[in-house]
Amino acid sequence: MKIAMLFRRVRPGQWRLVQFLVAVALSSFATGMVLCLIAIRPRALLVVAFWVVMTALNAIILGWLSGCAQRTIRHRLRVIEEELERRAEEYATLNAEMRRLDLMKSAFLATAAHELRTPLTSLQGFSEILLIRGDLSEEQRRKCLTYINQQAIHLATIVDDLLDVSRIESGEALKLRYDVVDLFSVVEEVVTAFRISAPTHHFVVEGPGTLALVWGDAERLYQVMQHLVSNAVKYSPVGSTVTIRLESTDDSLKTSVSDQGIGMTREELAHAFEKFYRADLSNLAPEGMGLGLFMARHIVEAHGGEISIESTPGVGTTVYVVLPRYKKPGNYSGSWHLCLSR
Amino acid sequence: MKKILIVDDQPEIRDLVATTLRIGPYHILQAGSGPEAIEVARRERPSLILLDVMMPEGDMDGFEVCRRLKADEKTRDAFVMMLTARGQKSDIERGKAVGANDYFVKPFSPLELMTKVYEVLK
Repeated sequence: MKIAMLFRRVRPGQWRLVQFLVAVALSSFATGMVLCLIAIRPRALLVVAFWVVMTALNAIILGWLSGCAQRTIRHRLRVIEEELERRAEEYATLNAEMRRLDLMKSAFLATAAHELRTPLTSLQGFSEILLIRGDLSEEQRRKCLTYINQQAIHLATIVDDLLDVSRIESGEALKLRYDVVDLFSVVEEVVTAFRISAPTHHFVVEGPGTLALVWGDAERLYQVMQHLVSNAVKYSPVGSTVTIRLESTDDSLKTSVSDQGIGMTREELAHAFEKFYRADLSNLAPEGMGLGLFMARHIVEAHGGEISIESTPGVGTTVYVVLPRYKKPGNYSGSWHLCLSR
Repeated sequence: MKKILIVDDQPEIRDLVATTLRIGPYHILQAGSGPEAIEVARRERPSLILLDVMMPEGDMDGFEVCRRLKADEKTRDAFVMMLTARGQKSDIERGKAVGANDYFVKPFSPLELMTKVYEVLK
């Protein structure tokens, strides 16, 4: 078996050479022996018999060697085949993933274009009305200008979001302006805004019972809560309730945003934090660029926090944000500077 | 007075189109969702319907609304103009397939829209 192992090291192309060398060696040995025996003149029969035995031995050894060679080659082919299969599978998976990302990117371009065109339509339209119609009342003029102003601000937010994403993409860390932030006030501000913009939904806010202070960027945390509540509203039916609950432990603050919406499948959940990912790409899908959860994750993680989702299709979704609590050394004096820029 | 129905889920776009068309001798109607559009169209029988493609509410997009309008004998004679933020060929083809008579791409110039509406309704 050791010799067999030795032959495994021979490359398939070298087998003919090995066979040839062994054949030459054995034949030379046999011929030499015959010549020697003839030289000392033994009986001819013995010489012939010896020669026949040597030739047979030669044939047997050659047969065994070629068997070895075939086994080695078959073994190697099997290894190569397995490797090829594995690579083909890897390639197919990679290819499917690339196609999925590519589709997502094209879908994103279409949505981004749509998201930009909508405020642009208002800007172009209302400004043109102001230009061509001199007969508008003061009230109508003000209304047109208000639309223009609102849509310009909306446009700026979209562009800001896109810039944030491209910054994160290029590996740049989000710049945070740290201060003590009362998360409960941030949540209340967000909800107050939504009570006006989304009167179709009920909003319930449950406080932590203590001060909900974190060390972070109030504006960015506002952005996180806004994305989460906005998703909850977008993906749940009119008349349903969105619940925002704050719970506090010794070290952390846990905020949960729950809706009674359509929920997510396991597959959708797996991609939820990817940029541009939108579970529904039809014309009926809620508006948005698929950046909300992606941004929320990056902002929360930049704060040293964690974000996670629990969802059941048809029942609803809850997004949890856990942030480290702010602890001031010494006793609490009761005069916090609450950074609320909005 | 000829009736025009504007269908868009975004109130500011509805307001924009309405403000634009109010210059003309038209009676302007508005609907914020697909089902509402069908209801108003059946009741008011407008001559022209400006229909947005992207409408999330009521599980009915502009194409579906158009298909239903064209399938209903009460509303099939209305001239349907798809108002779409997507100028993509596939959208235009889909609009044609469900019976839309014409399309208009956002963002649009109110003056151009006005001219087009005037031509359609004259």
